[in-house]
Amino acid sequence: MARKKKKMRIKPQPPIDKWGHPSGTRSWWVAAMLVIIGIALAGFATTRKHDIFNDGKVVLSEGQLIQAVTVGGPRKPPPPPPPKSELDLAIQQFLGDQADALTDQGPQDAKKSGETTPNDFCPT
Amino acid sequence: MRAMAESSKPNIPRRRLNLGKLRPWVQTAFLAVWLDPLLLRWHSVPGCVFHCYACPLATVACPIGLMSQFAAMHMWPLMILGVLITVGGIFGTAVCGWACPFGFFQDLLGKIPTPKYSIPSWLGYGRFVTLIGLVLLIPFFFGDEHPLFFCNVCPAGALEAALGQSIYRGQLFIPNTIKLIVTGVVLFLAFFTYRPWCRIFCPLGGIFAIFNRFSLLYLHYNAPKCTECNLCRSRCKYDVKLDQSINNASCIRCMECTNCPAITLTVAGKTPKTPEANPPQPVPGK
Repeated sequence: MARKKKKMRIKPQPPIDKWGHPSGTRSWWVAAMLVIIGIALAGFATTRKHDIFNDGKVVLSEGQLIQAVTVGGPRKPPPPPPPKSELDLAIQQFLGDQADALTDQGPQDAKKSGETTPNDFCPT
Repeated sequence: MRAMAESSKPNIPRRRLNLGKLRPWVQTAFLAVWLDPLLLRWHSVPGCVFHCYACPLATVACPIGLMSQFAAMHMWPLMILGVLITVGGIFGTAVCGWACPFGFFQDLLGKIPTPKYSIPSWLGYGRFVTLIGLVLLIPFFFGDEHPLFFCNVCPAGALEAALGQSIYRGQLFIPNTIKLIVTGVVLFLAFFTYRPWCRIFCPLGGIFAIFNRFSLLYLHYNAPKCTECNLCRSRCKYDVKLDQSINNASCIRCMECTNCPAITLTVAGKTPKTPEANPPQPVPGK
């Protein structure tokens, strides 16, 4: 009768590295290097300045830039409107202040009606 | 005499601290830190957890939101990288398991007694897809107005910023459609699997997962102590094969597996004692 072979299960053993430690162990210097690199990066970041629009007018430190980003981001001011034509000036003169009041009311009405944009929630 | 006194000590096994039971308390304590009880508003400091800075209660700024913004501005986020490398180099993904408020929220949802399913491990690569695609490439090439810009799809933004601002301002803020869909999917999945956002999509989890193999704090598997009782695998909610690849990228270091005597939380540089390395000393006089 063929003898029934007992299945031998080999217990998993971690391979031994060249220092004689099981391979699960690790040296502290890799983590220490990472921590030093991280602190050096953060430290260097605190000293650098950002010229936001490359015109020398808005120069922020990294912390100020992050602060600006979290409240809506540094935005370039919109360009001034083109000079009005004579007809536009005449209409404005005719309507008086009512024209400005009407144009200003538009966006406020939109806000009141609850219309939102995606960036209302994550200021970008 | 001293040796004899030591040999006469009863061999009582040392009681192991159940780190898993400690975790909700630590998460609650960290929640109190991130929710700005002192109204500090340190928004110029990048944090190390996933917590939207548009939330009315946010102490520090979300590193992923900031990375997206810096990518849109074509700048290197050096301070954010510095913070993440430092924290990741020390703790690895323990930040996700013990400090992250969005992870804590998912942990609470996971406590709802619904059937829980495991997810294939390859879905973990989704975190790197999110990191490279939505956090770096889309903002870099298309700016922050693109509908797939990370903050425009972030579920933490939907819950913490939109809901938070609605309560804070007393006015209803409705997130955009993509964000609502992503949030709905994540919340739905959270009922049927543990931490779906962290395991499939979270770009911050992806960054910390890279450090899991190098961090100062790590989990050590002591094979000679293993009795193949399968306790570690049964305890792990994230399907990590602890006896084969401990400190895997899927691990969030919840420390539930440290109930098994073969697995210990260790500091790098300190070689854990093994039975082979330290054979029992012969008792003098015998």
